[in-house]
Amino acid sequence: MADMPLDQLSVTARSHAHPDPVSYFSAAQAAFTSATRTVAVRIDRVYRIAGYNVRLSFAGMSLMPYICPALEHLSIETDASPHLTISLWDTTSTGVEIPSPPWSLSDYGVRGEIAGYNNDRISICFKHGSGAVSLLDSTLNQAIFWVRDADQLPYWEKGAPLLNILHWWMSQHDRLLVHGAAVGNDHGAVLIVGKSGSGKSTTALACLSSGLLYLGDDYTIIETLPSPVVHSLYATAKVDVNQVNAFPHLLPKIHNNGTLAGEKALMFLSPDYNKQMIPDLPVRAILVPRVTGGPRTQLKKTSAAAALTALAPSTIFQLPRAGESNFKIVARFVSKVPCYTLECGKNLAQIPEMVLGALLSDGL
Amino acid sequence: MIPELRFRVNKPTVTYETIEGESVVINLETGSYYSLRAIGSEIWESLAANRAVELIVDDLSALYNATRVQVEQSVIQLIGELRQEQLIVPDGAIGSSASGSQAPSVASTVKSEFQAPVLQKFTDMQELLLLDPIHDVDAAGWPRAKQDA
Repeated sequence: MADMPLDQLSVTARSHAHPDPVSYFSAAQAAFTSATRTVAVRIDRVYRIAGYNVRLSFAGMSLMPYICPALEHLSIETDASPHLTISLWDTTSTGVEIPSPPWSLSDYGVRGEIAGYNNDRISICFKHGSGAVSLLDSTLNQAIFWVRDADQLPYWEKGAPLLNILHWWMSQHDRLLVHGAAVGNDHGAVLIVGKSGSGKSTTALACLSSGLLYLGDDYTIIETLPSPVVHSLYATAKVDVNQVNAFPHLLPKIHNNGTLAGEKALMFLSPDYNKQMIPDLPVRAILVPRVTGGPRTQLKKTSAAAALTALAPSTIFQLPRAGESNFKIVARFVSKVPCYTLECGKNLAQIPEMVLGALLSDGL
Repeated sequence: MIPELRFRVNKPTVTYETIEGESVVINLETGSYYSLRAIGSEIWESLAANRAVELIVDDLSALYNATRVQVEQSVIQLIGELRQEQLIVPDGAIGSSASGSQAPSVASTVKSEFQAPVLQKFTDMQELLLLDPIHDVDAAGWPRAKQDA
């Protein structure tokens, strides 16, 4: 066990005195420094995400296989100056704990946010599904990701790592992380929205298989001004097991073959599909998929309100601290482009045709 | 005769947006979300603008082809549902009829068909939230991870 930093000791000792959020963040940052000393190595990776350089600093290598593959397509040179730095460590490989929670059990919100520990500067949440703690100091542009044991991270955390930190930070930089897929071509992209199981991934993978450009199948980042843009975030695909056989060329890419009972099939698409991955595209339309199982796939005009209903709740309920301002951004976004229902039939090969139709229908 | 009640949106727990005559309302604490269309959306917007219930009934009676009693019953029923879902809360009981939002300026000579408002409720996102209290923590005080979350 490494020596506990002074700041961390002081916070632990004061745990009943409720240290302020900045003090807790500082103590957690000191714990990261201690972890890097313990393992005697800090490894940096830099990614270009939605127009910003995000540096990940790992204390040792344990977490890297769980965090890096999903972001690999956005990797840039490590000497690039970062806009945001995220420090990551786990206790199992470093022996260093994050300061114990000074808050009480009743302070955990329904999305993991900690009551009394979130303000204009500091965001803190505990992810109940993974046990990961995420913190952001938006003044310092420093964030922290800690988990007790990297090997215990669930598969979906590997498919969408650092979701909460990126959501918080991007929200403060005129971007919004959303629960939506995106595919397109040189003309632009369609944003595909809806709750889990609505057909986002199937639609996105059908388009990937046809040669269209791919920005993501689950989470992407949108920007409303001056005109709607979607940014790629994760080079992954996560598909229901009963759908994955529809994409036989992707079967070798399945990462969690041994645990598919109860999990979706998770695939990392970089580097094999890097030629079809693109960092960002202007958004030409929004699609709300609906799996009909019928003989034909059809595109039908729908209202912006229908797109808002499909996108906003599934985004906001997943992300700690998301609320009114995020809702307004989504509303503004869906009002700027035509919205369609994509009725997905049995023949998946028809889906890319409909997507191309939607891409060309924005008044050109 | 209905009392001159006013309501407001139950912020910050509840947030909403109205696009093209449809209001989408989200309760951030319960994981439920709602849709109100047409007249339902009009009533919601009026309530959110702090307009007195009596004036909302007046407005709709002038715009739609229905008796005042019909309109009043529909408005009161919808308000009951909105309160039940904790989407609105009372905001001052008695006030001047002139306060609150302005009455619609639409001429009432040609009235539209009145359709009772419907509050459509969706609960399919509740699984994303931790709605149960935490009891189980590890030695360091962190909640034990729920792998199915």
